[in-house]
Amino acid sequence: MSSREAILNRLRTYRQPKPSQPAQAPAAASATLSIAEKVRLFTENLHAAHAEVITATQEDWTQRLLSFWRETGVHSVIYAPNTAHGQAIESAAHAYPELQLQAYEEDIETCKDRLFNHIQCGFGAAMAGIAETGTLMVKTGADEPRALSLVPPTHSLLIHAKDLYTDLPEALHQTRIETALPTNLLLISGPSKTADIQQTLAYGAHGPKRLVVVLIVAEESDHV
Amino acid sequence: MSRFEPATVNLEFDKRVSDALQDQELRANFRGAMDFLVGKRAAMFPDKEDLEALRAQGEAIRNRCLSQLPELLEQFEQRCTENGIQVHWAETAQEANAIILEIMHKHDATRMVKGKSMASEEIGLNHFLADHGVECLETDMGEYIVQLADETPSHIIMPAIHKNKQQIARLFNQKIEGVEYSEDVDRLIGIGRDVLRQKFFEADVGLSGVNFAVAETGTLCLVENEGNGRMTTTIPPVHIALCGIEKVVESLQDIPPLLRLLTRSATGQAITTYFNMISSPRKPDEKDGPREVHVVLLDNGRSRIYADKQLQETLRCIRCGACMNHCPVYTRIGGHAYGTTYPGPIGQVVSPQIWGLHTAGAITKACSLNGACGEACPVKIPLADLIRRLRYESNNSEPTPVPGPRGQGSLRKRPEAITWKLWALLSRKPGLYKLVLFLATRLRALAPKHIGPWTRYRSAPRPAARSLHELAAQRSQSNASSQEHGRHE
Repeated sequence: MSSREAILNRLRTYRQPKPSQPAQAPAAASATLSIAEKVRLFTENLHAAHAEVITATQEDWTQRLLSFWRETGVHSVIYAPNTAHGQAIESAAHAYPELQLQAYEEDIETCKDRLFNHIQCGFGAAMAGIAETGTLMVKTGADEPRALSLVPPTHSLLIHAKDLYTDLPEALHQTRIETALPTNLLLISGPSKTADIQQTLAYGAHGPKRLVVVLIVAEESDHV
Repeated sequence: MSRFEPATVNLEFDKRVSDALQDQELRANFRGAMDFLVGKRAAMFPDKEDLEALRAQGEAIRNRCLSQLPELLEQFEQRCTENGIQVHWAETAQEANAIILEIMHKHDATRMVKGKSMASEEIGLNHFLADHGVECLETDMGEYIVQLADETPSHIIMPAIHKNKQQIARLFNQKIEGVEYSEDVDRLIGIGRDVLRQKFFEADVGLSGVNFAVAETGTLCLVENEGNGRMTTTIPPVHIALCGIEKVVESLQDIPPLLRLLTRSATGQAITTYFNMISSPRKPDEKDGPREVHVVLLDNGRSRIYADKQLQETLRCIRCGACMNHCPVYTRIGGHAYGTTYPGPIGQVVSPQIWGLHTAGAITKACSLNGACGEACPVKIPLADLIRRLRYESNNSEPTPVPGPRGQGSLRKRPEAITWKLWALLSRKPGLYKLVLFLATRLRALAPKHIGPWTRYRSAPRPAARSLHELAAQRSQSNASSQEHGRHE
């Protein structure tokens, strides 16, 4: 008998009757917050997790992000070229000639050295945000390579206020992500960190040391 | 005994405990760390009612999933296969190691980077691979420190919790070429980052554990803060996930409450930096991610635990470590004293069941049955009850209807068994009880001054001059006579 059969047989033989208690206590329905409240909570929680937030509009976000990179000495950025946000930053980057924008076009086997040793920042977008924990939901794939948000020491991430949800159950439910899970769905809540040495918090353990979130608010009411 | 089983747990347990108690630096490290973690968790659950509702929900989800475990495993396997993930089944530690080595061989791989996985510690993977010429490097910062020191983790969440920064500074200075002594934590983490980045860059295979495996979608969920889990599962061309069979949950909807309980109970965080959900290998149009993903479903005694209705509660565990943080014994002796992969209260329940009472049953002694672990457990595992049950099984020589833990009755000692039999006899025969009590009080001078380990730090108990029965009888007699005397006046 194969190990598979042996294990499953044992489990079937000794299975206990189903619990008589209700399968699951009903989850308390979370109060749905207004966009302004979600923006406030989301920003607050990201700050608490040591991330930086740039609040911008649809019109000025590229300029604000480019200024941030210039001020913080970021000169090499990798991005996904087949995305609206990628193309927007590509067009705007003419105003920042020192910036080397590199499209993530090759397989990692080819660009691994550059990714690990030369690029300072990865730029991508989040499909959703979770206000309660300051979390960014990133759907990786052809347009959002996984290493973009992992290997370079700074990670810049774009998100729209309209894509903010109150908590994880709401985000999972509203985005209907379970029907189309990507290769790798990521929840990111701040820069990489560890407290493994004497419970002292240190940032940049293995992933990005800095997480910069560009939050696009569409209307006046979206602002804090 | 196989080389995948810890041979010395029962034999060396008392000595390990004694050594740990005498190590003041170790005790200070644990005291500080446990107080820190207990405080962080408490701050995350300010409302007791909310906490209790969430714990009940966590318990119900885990029970529901366990009650359907064979079907969920089959569904998980089917979904994974549809998604392109290769599924393997391992009944034993040996088999799991052999499967992993075979995958390595298939790819001519000699360098493995490992994310945090207690299951891989359980099967002794590092040593096994080293014996077969494979470098297996721990990449969780705490695990890396522990591996560098040639030690094992002493906590399931914070593996290097037993070391302070001075000890780590010395270790890095001695073991990593060109590193100067520095107690600066940022600097130390930076050193680890540099060393491990190069290893991620070069690795042929990445191995991770699994926090939750979702049957409905064939998804592997990993909870972490550092990004080493993501590096391990993203950069090398092959990813192997080692997953205990009990980790399967029914659907994605089960994840939010369990994740909430896990991170808040473990490190007092509302959420960890990364929650990584992997559902397939790299797709044709994708630029990165492993081209092959394998899942090894590990039994190693779990289906045996499943057989017993009470002991099955063990399998609800989501490996948060809150029980050890709240355990007064663990806080004083630390994780290594147990001598097993899983220490503390959950270790006292899991380890003797995986490796048998004859191998690891002695660690159930390290419990005062105060119940703090069970109160802290986010999925309400009645740890103290299970520890008591395993103590009973260690002495029970009667056969049981279901498999039960191996090594039943193996810790039974004749003098102890006779003592309890006599005690039971005395308790049933009042005349005999009175006689023994009379003799014990009258011959108290003959009581031994040394009674084994008890008198190593304490004085021996001595019977009183008169038993409580006699004193009570005397008092009621003297009360009666004084009342009588009063009436006569």
